[in-house]
Order: sequence, then structure tokens, then C-alpha cells
Amino acid sequence: MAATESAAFARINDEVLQSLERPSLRYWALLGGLFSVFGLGVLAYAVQLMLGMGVANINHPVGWGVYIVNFVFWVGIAHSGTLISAILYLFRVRWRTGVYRAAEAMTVFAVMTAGLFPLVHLGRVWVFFWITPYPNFRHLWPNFKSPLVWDVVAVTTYFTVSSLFFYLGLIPDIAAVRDHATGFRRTVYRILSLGWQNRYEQWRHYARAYVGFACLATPLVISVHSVVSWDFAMSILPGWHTTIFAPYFVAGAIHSGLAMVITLLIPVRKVLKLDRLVTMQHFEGMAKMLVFTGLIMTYSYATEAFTSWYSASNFERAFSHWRAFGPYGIFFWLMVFCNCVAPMVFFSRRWRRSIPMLLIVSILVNVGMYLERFVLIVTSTAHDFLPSSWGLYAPSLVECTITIAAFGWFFFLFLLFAKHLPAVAISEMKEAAIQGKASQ
Amino acid sequence: MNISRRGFIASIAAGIGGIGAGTGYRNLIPFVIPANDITPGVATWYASTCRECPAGCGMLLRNREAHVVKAEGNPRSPVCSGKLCARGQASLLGLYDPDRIPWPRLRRKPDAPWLAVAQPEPKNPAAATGDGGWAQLYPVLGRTLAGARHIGFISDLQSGSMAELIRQWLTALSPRATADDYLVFEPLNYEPLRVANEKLFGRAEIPDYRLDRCDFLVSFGADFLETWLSPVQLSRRFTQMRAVKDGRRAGFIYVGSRRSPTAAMADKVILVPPGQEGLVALAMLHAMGEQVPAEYAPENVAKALSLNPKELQWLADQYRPARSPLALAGDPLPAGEEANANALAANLLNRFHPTEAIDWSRPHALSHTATMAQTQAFLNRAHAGEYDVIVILNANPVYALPPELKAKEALAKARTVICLNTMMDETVAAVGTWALPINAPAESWGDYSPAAGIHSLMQPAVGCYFQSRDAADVLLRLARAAGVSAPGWPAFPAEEPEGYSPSYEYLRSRWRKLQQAAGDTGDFEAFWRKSVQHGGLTLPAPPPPAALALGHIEVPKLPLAKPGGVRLALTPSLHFYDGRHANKMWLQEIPDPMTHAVWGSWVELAPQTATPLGVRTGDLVTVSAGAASVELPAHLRDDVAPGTAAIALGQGHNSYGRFAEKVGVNAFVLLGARGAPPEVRIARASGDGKHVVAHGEQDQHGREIALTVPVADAAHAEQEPLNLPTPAGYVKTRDIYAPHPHPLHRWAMAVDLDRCTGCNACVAACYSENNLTAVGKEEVARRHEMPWIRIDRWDEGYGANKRSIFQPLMCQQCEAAPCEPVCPAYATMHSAEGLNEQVYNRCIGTRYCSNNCPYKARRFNWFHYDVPEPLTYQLNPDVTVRDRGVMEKCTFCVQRIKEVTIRAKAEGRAVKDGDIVPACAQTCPADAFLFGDLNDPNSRLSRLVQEDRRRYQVLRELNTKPAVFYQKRIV
Repeated sequence: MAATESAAFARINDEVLQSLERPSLRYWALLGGLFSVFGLGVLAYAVQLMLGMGVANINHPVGWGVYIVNFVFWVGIAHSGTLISAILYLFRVRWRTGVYRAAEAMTVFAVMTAGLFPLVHLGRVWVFFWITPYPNFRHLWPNFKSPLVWDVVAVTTYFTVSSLFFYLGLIPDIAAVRDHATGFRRTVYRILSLGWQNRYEQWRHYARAYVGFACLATPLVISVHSVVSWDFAMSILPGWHTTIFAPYFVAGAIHSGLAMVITLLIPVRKVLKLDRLVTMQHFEGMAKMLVFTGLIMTYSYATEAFTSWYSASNFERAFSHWRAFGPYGIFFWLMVFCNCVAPMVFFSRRWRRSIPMLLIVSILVNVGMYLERFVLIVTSTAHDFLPSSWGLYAPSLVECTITIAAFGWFFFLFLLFAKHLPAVAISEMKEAAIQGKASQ
Repeated sequence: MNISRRGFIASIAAGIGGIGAGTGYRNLIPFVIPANDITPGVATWYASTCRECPAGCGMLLRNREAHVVKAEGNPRSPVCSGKLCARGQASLLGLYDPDRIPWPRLRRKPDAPWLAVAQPEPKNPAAATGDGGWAQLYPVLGRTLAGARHIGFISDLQSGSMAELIRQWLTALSPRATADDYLVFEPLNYEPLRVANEKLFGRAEIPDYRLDRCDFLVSFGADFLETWLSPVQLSRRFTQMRAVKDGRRAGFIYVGSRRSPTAAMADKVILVPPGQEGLVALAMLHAMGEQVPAEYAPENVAKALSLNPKELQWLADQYRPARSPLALAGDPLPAGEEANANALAANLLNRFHPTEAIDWSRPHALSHTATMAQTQAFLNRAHAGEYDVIVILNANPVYALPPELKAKEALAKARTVICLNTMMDETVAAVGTWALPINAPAESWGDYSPAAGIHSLMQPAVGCYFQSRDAADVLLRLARAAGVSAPGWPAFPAEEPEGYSPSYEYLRSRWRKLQQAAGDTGDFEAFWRKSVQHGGLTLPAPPPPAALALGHIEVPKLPLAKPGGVRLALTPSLHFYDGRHANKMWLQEIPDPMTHAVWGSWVELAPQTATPLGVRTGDLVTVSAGAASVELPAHLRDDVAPGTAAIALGQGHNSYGRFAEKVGVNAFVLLGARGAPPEVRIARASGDGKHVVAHGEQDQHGREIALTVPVADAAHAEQEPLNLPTPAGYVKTRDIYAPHPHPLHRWAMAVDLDRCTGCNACVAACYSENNLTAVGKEEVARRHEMPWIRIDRWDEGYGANKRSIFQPLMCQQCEAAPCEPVCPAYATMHSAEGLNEQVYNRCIGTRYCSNNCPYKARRFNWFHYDVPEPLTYQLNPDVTVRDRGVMEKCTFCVQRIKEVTIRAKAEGRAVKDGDIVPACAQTCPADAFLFGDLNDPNSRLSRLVQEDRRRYQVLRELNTKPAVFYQKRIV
């Protein structure tokens, strides 16, 4: 028994750790490519910083453009990582084990990406810290009535907790990597593993801390995107000012986050040869979740339309109509297709287990969720109360470059992670292996 | 005598200025020891005269630290009564135009490069040193003039001492000269009106139109609220005329080829193709039973013009019983026989029907401008080589005359062409041999008489930035150099004191005569000081000349046939008049009220005309007449008579300055020597029209933004509910936040939609007062424009009953302002006086406030905007210049509020109602704005909010509690 167990453990160790072997030239080329894409964005931002916000096509009336779209999109992506690692952990959902590490990494990197955009968006970024409560001679505080201040608090809290949670879960695995590493890498991993010795009391503290973090992170999953939604819901614009926004945004965030996990895991699993650890069972679980969140999205869209009709407000009704049938109508209907219709294929077990279909639908959902944010943010400002101020918006070259660069930055970080940290949780896989045996 | 506070300050300041400005005014800052009339931080006001158009409004110029920063109307002026139009507000951009001629220049041949007269700097032959070369050029030009056989003189409309001086100067220097050798050239000379008046009243003059005495007005294409004759004066009178009495008011019908802003104020607009307005007048006369050929019966005219005959009959039925009706004949262009016939037909109404609204005692100065025939005769003489020297003062005939007249070739025949101008305009660039920079009106002594008996003074309100001189000084010094003089001219002292101005002495000598004319026998110095302080002198009107006996009256022959092709309607531009304001960036950037187009020209076409040609708004089209053609974007409006191509004049300069050149097209080229072409051809051209329209939609979509009330109900309609912007407006069940206390004041404003004519004066005043920036065509196209007040136009209805409501919209200073709670940095705050304040230094640029503003009244600084020197001199030192990345918006002119409240506090008294006037309210020719304190129950504003039946709040249902109350348009 013990022999087979240690053999199984060794297999898990080998399979995970083989992914961390010396990377190929192709890896470095890809990494360099992604960094260059990010660098282009830095360049574009430098242009904006030097000349002014006017290089972006945001205008009067559309004061918020793709920068805020990107922010909301990436915060949304950041969602499912903690959802999978914390909430599903507390609910003991088994398919979580194989995917949660990657999902958590994705969360941390997505928040790191999202966090850039409010800064990119600011007219005077050099005084961005005025939005934070810090002691100063003038006794000036930020305006706690402003949802933007809540946003800063929510996102920074979320970032702190999710990165600590991510790191905590990594400690035993880093120790495992350390034990197999040599030379300089060994030193680095030794420091990062914080002296993990696999001792009983260490495990006991670890388990306590892990549950504690999971409990702490769970409400954050709900709160952070609720707060982001209030950036809009607290305003008075038709299309923004609705009470459904908090749950609608949270569901949307989970929807997009799950889709992003699937999109990322499929290539990672293949490239890092983890298909025995990340199995179809995991994908199926996520696909079912996608169906569920897709239905919530459908319900939300329907509710939005219904409330705007039921309000009997001329502004609300005219706006909803314009959103669906105005110049941005194509985006609206694409959004409905991608977010509501496409995930429904996963009612079929055959499609749930088809890797190409999973990839296609998850990408569609990502596109759909990006469009949702665009439709939501841009149309409301473009078409508000006074027809004399109506206008349109399309991103400029600088905005597009920075948007694409964000993807470069995110994938750059993720690629770095995939080759230098265990992308699958070794210790939990081992635990699952025992539990799996025990339950059999 | 009733003296307003502002008038009092102005008079005091003008007085000090009048004394101080006589000598040494060439100093600019910095002052180590400041001059007596300059206290840092305190404005000095100089009374002057607006010379931007022939209307001649009195003006007060606000000088701060030796820079003129604001122009306002002079309340004592009988022309403007303290108001200015957009062009007057923008006059400072002409004063500080970076493209003014900096120093005297000359060139050997018309196509040679310009050289500085002064010793050229070795590295830059075009730059001048020292005094710019004036001392050197006088003897040279004096010899030229002394040797001249025959001199021709062209100027824009001058009256008063300058006109007298020019005539004397010409006689003295050119003994052969006759009155015809002085050409008073105004492209808009109102020739059709003058011809009609000569035929009907025996006077080739333009009378004073007293709209305030009129009870039924028909305008045949006269855009008297925009550019026509004296728009500020006529706007005020129009407002008086339209006052509601006993549920009725004087009617106003507009007959013309396009719905102009003036037409938008009419009860009814009858669209007819250009050149056929007169038919409507003839039909009216026929219906009224006058001696008009039967072919002009309403049925026939209605058929020819595709109108409803009942409409014409109705019009006549309105006109006939009126006590004092008035018909205004529109076309100000010398547009030929057809225009004359139309003006004659329209004026027949005035001839047949007695009216008190025409005052012949004060004919307008424009009556004395050259007719097209006189201009042609002058050019023919020039072409024949009769003039060996031509002096051109300000006038720009090369730009504004039909190419057929070959003005350029004719003027270039002269051996020497001396151009006295502030700008390198087309005429200077084409024919000038000397370009002598003259002072702008705000830098000069002078006077102008816009109508008989009204004498308005100009005084230097600022030192000269460029090496320019008073035009009259230049003329007198040239005459002296040529060795001639005339009786009454000042002698030159042997030792000239610094800053000696002979024209100043000349002006005073002329005003000595005016003192006698005014019956003032007192001390001249006291009279002079008072005149300078008041900005001029108004002599009592002479008794009106006796009416002519009604003799044989010729009825013009107007063809009854509907014209086949497309006809051209050339209109003076609201912003550029005849083109002289094209280099003013505010005027280029402020949207045209009817199209909202900016920075360019466009041709307005009816959809019926454009659609068959496959032309849509923004498409480039070619409009050609004979050999001349222009390429410009189309703008489709169902407000243009079918078969009409309407183009505004004034753009398309090829030499005038950086903001004017390569913008739009010069529509004067479509004119022929005999007036407007009978027909123009329109064809779709390839390429992008680059047509930029600044606003969104003009349909209210049922949103109740601009409301109307029938005239009968205006005085006793049920009041709209209000969400008051005071603690009284707080309702616990409705409001989240506690009410703001306003212990001292609660500033608020009312805007009367019935008065606003959409003339854009308030917008220009705001640009001037608050250091707003013009961002340029490309940026406006990207919706990055930055006015703090914009004029929304809302269209309702169709056809003749279509109505446009102009709605000036600025920050509403909401009590429950949506912008305030969303700012994370407290950059926008509610002040104790109710203002919604934007703290630029605290703004981090999230733009959330702008998103959340339902009025979209906030503007973001997308870039850092710089203006070239010396335009920076115009910046108001009381208002922060905003840097990029921050939000800005209307402040209710908080600097003006503070100025008054601080003074009241220092003097230990309460602020009086009416003491504070924001820039927009100050200049509004129609007096549509009322500013006041809601905390003062007796203020006019408080009473209006209490009692007025028309006041309401825009988007009240959002509970923003706006502090701007609108008064419904009366229909």
C-alpha cells in the first residue's frame, strides 16, 4: 500500500515537475514576443502621457472608453480563480483540484492587469494617490461617497488576499520543486518556500491558514465585482443606474473567468503534458458552470430589458431600444449570442467533453463578455438625457495598442508562471489521490 | 439720473483712462513704476467703439495690468445699450491677432517677397528693428505722394473725423481728385434697400428701423438678429416688440430662402427661392387691395411658388389691420437688378401702409457707401491707369469683389499701392507695394458715427504690441512729408513730445465743432473729458423730414415663373460678417446656430434638391456659376427652399492669417458684376467634404427639455413644479443627502427661451471671460470642443410651422449635483453660496463627473492648449488657465461674483440685486439671462421663480435641483 502510494506520489511529482525543466528556445521567443507586445503598450502610454488624454478617442459625451472596458473585463477574469480555489474548496468540489492553481495564477495576473487601467485612464496620473486615504498636511481625504474610492479599496483588498492565498497554496509545492532543483534555482526556491519542511505542525498550520484564507476570500469574490458594478450603478445614467448590477456583474465575472480558465488550461495542459492530471472531468465541471452562469446572464439581460420597459421612463425605454437597435446594436446581439446562446451547447455531454468545442465556446464567451462591457460602458454615456449631447465612440490607435498590450502583459506573466511554478497543485493532487483511493 | 454700478465704474475708469492715455501709451508691461491709472489687480475700463462692423456699438474695454482682456457693450451707447454680439466679443482676437502686420513692409514688385522697411537684421531681412522703419518711410513715401499725378483712396466705411480727414487729405495731395476718387468700399452695402428707398421715399438712405414701435413685422430675408444693419440694436428692439401684452404680441413673419436664426424666431416662415421674396410682398399688396397688377394675385403667386394661397391671404389679413407694421427688405449685397426689384416690392408695403417704425431722422452710415456702379467706375479708372498711387485703408476689395471685375489687375496698375491695414489680407497680398501696419480700434483715437447724430469715440485702451500707428497719424505725417497741409490740420511742433499724435489734435478740433453743435458753451476740456468717459455724444435727432406725397409708384416686374435650376442665396455669415472676422478662432469654433457646423463653409441644400444628385450631408459638391466654382461640403436641411443653394460668406481666405487660411471657400467668387447669377450648377465632387458638425440631435425625442406655452396662456398658465435648489427643496423621502445650507447667498439664473435668438454672443463672451480654448477642426470632429455654454437648438413641427427653440445650456449649478458625490478626490464641491465648484488643482481626471452630468455641461482638457503670442495677452488674469488632464465647466463667473461680494463686504453693505452679471448675461443682446440670489426674497430672480408662469427646470424629474430656471418659449 505504502509502496503504491509513494509510487503514485512520485508520478504526480514527476509529471508536474517535468513541466518546470529547462525551457526551450521557443518558450523564450514566445515570452520575448509577449513582452514586446507589452512594450508597445508602454510606448503608446508614453505618447498619451506626453501629449494628453486627447490621443485617446474618448470624448464628450463618452468619458469612459476601452480603458474602463479593459479594467472591468480583467477584474472579471480575476474572478473565477478565487471562486475555484476558495468557494469550491469550501464546498469540496472535487474537479477543482486539477485546475485551481492555474486559475489562481490567472486571478493574480488579471488583477495586476486590471489595476493598470484606472491609472492609464486618469487625466493626471501623477497625482493618482489622491484617490487613496493617506495622511497629509492638508487633512484632505478622498471622497468616500465616490464609488471610485470603494473601487480602489475593493480591488486592492482583492489583490492582496488573492495573491497571499495563491502564495500560501504554493508553499508546499515550491518546497517540492526546491527538493528537485539544483544550483541557483534551488536557492531561489528555498527562499520562496519559507523553510517548508513537510512537518506535521507545518501542515496543521497550513491547513488552518488555508481554510482561513478561503473563508476570507469567499466574500471578496462577491464584493469586488459588486463594487466594480457600483461604479456604474451609483450613477444616474440610463443603462447604468440599476439595482441588478451587483449580482449581474458577479455572475458575468464568473462567466468570463471560467471561460478564461478553460481557454488557458487547454493549451497549458497540452504543452506541459498534464493531461493525466487535468482531465476531462475537470473541464466538464467547468462547462457545467458555464451553462449555469450563461443562464444567469440571460436572465440578467432579460431583467434589464424588462425593468427599463416597466420603469415607464422615456429615457430608460428609449435607451434600451437604442442599445439594441442603434449603431452599437451589432455588438449587443453578438454579446447575447456569445454569452447566452453559445454556452448552451454544454447541455450536451458530448460537447462538454470535446476539447475543440470547449476552446471555441470559451473564447466566444470571452469575446462576448468583452463586448458586454463595451456595450454597457460606452452606450450609456453616448446616449444619455439630452439628445444634443449624443455622440459615438470608437477606440483610437493608442487605446487599441494599450488594450492589446494588456493581453501581452497577462500572457507574459502567465507563461512565466507556467514554466517556473507548478501549474498543478502537487500536494492537493496527492491528497486527492489518497482520498480518491479511500473513497473507492 | 439712473446710473448702474457697472456704468459708474466704467465712467470713472474711462475718465481716468481718458486723461492717462493721451501720452506715453506705447508702454507695455512690466512697469517698474506703474502708471497712475493702473493698479495691479484692479481693472480699468475704457470707453470705446466697436468697429467690427458698420453698426458701431459703444464698447467698454477692460484693461488689466496693461492688457485689454474683455470687451463689453457700453450701457450709454444708444446703439447697443451695453450689449455686444459674438463678433464684438471676439474683437480682442483682432487686437491680439498673431498674424497682424508687425512692422512696415515694402516690396519692389507684387510678386516679390516683403521686406522690412527698417534696417534689416543681417540674418532675417524680413524682421524690423528700432521703430520699425516709420521714420525712414515717411520721406520716401512723401516724395512719392508729392510726385503723384492722381491718387485714389479706398477705405472701409469710415465716418466722423476719419472720413473728413480722408477727403481733405485726398484733396490736398491730389488736386485733381473728386469725390469719386474716394471709394468707401463695403461688400455689404445694402444697395437694393437704398435703391428702393430712393424710388419710393426719395431718399437713397437706410432709415432707423424702430422695431419697438412695430406691431407686425415681415422680414423679406433680412437677418436683423444676426448681421443685418445693426443687429444688437435691432435684437433689443425686437425683444421689446415681442413683449406680451394682454395675451397678445406683435407678429413676426419671415419670408426668405432659408430658415436663418432670425427666421427661427418668427411665428411663421415662408420659404421661397432666393430672388422671389418680392412676389410674396406683391401678393400681399394685391390682397390688401393696392394697385398691383392682377398677375400678382395671391393665387397666381402661390401657384408659382408652390405655396398655399390661403397663407398669403392670411399674411395680408394680418398686415392690413396692423397699426404700425413694417416690412424689412433683406439682401445686403449689391446683388443686381433682381435684388433691387425684390427690395422695391418689399418696401412697397412700407410705402402703402403707414408705419411709425421707420425713422428717417437718423439715416445709417451705411447709406454713404459706394454702390456697385461707383465701385466699377473706380476700378475702370484704375484699370485705365489713371491713378499712379492708390491708398487702401482696411478695405479688402480683392477678396470681396466678383472676379469678373478684375479688382486685382485694376489696382495693380497703380505704380504705388499703399496699404494701411492691420492684417495681410488678400488685397495687401495681391496688390500692395507698401504694407503699413495701423492700430487696431482699441489702440487708436478716433470716432465713428453709425447714424446721424450719434457720435461714438474711440480711445487707446492698451499700448501697441506691434510697430503700428494710428491710421490718421500716418495720413497726416505722410501729408507733411509730401509738404502739403489743409486748413484745420494740426501743426507739428518743432520739438515733438514723445507720443505726440497729430490725429488726436485733429480729432479734438473736430469735437470742438460738435461741442457747438450740442449747444454746450462750457469749457472744452470738461466737454471732452465727459465725452471720452461716456464713449461719445448723442445729439438730439433732427425732426424727421416731411413725408413725400404719394406720386406715381413703380411696381417692380418680377417674373412669376418658378426658376428652373438651383438658385444661389449668399448670406452674410453670423460669425464672419463679410469675411473680416475669419481669423478669430472663437468665431471659427463656435458652431453655427442652424447647422452646428464649425471651421468651414458648406452649402445648405434642401433634401429635394440634393437627393436626386445623390448628395448627402458631408459630401463634397461643386457649386459653379459661369466660369467660377467652389468646392465645399453639402449640408442638407429641410429649412432651405427647394432649388436653393445657400452659402455663407466670409471664409476661404488665401491670405489673412493662420486661423482663416485654407478654411472653407470664398463664395464672393460666385457673384457676377451684375449681381447674383441667375442659376448655379451643383455636382457631386469626389473626395471628403471634411464637414464637422459639433452637436448631437436637435429632436427632443419627447423629453420635454425645451417647453413652449401658447401666447394667450403665457401670463396665467399653471406653473410647473420645481425642485428648488435651496433647503426648501429638500424632501426627506426623496433626498439621500442632507440639504446644503446657504447662509448668505444662493446664486441662480433664469434663461428666457422666448428671448434667446441663438446669436452666440454669450458663447463668445464666455470664451473671452473665462479663458476658454479653441481646439481646432480636427479636435471638434472628435468631440473635444470646450465651450462652457453651448446653445442647443430644438426643432419641432414641419413646414411653415416648424419651430426652433434655442436653449443656452451651461452648468446648472445643481443643488443635488450628480457630479459631486462621484468625484473621488473632492475636486468638485458645493460652495456655501450654492455654486458647484470645480477645483482644478485637485482634479485627477477620472471624468466620472462628466459621465454623470445629465446636462453634459462639463469639459475635459484633452491636451495642453497653447495660443500664440500675443493672444495670451487677452487671458483674463482673474480666471485660472487650466492645464491638460483636468475637468472644467461654467462657474457662473465666480470671479465676478467675488469681485462684487468682496467690495460689498469692504464697504459694509449688502450685495444689491443686479450688481453681479455673468459674462453671458452681460452681453446678451436680447436680455435672455437673469442672474440673482435666491436667498434674497426680493431679488428679481426670486420673484421670477415665485411668480413667473413660464419657468421650469430642465430634467427636473432627475431631482438634480438645477439652479438654472428656463422660461418657456411663447408660441
